[in-house]
Amino acid sequence: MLVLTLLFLVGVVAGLFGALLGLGGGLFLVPALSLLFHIDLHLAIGTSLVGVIATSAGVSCVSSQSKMNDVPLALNLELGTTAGAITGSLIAGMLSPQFLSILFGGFVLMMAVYTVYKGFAARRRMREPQVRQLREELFTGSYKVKNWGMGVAMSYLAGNVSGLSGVGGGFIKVPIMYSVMGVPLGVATATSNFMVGITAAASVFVYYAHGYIAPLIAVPTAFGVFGGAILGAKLYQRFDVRFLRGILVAVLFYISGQMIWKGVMAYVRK
Amino acid sequence: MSASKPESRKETVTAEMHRVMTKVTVIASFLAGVLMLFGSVLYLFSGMPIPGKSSLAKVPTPTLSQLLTGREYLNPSAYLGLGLIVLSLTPILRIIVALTYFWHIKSKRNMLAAIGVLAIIVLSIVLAWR
Repeated sequence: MLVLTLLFLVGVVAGLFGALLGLGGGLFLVPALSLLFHIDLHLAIGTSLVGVIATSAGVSCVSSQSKMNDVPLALNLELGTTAGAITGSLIAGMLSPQFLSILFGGFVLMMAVYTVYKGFAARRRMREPQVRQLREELFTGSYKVKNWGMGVAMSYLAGNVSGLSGVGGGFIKVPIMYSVMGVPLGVATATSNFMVGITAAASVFVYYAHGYIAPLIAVPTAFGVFGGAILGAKLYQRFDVRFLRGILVAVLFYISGQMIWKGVMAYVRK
Repeated sequence: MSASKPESRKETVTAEMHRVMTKVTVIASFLAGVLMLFGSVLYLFSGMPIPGKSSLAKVPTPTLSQLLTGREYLNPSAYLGLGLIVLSLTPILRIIVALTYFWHIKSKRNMLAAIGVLAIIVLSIVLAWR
């Protein structure tokens, strides 16, 4: 019973952080299940995909968070992302857990670097005059989506990462929409939250059919993630994002180091 | 004045789409939660041992055909599995709501995108269970 309760609590933390930071929650779930519970990496990825869907559903249940998402943009990009997710999930079945561990560590490291960059960018923006006007533009300004071809191609890559590693791929989607396609940051984050659920849904059935989703692991985790995501979506505006970002970066660097180390050592021992 | 009318109608329909999406997600998530909770209660009363760290993965995932044919009637893991599938379907339901909305406002390009995404997901399900 203790293990099930711990899985639930891990889910709550993943859902809370996933919703607060717009990451989906998979970045926490995969290493937590693999490193703390010693669950096989394929099972951890399958469970994480269910967790990503639960985060997306939890955020959607809190209507004020989901209103900002650009559904037409999300669906057009999802054409590339879902195709990438299926390819990724089919490839993942052929890869060894050691290689997957190193690959996942690499993705988490990229995420950590991206989060540090995002923190610096936010600090730079705060120094600029007319911050309020800028903030309004970031969230509600009118915009015209550009670079569609590049956006769909990069979305395919994000989908591939999601199918391979069990993360939502939000850390690729948000910068694509914001930096490449000219979408305001607030809209990009909300749209990404909507998209990660669809992307995960495209590969979760492949994992389910291969037996990589164990009900007794996935169910308590999904309950926890769903509750954590609702809590995160409700607390979103009350938290000091800089504090959260600091914790997140420390955790991400630690996780990436652990996962890469685990994979490399497994190869060395072979 | 006349130019803003279609725009405001579109905004109203968009707001309505988000409202329906939220409602559909809440209902589907609730249903998934009930199924998983029922499965958990069945598990507790079935006399099966509460799994430890090493035996978590040993409860098998029921196959789709077992779930659909009811062969797993009153099997706890079938309800847990069914709950997980219903939860996994919530993003698909949101796409169907969006598709209905695009059909309503006659946005052909977005309708095609929604149909395309649905087709890819259906393909993934077919690939998974072929």
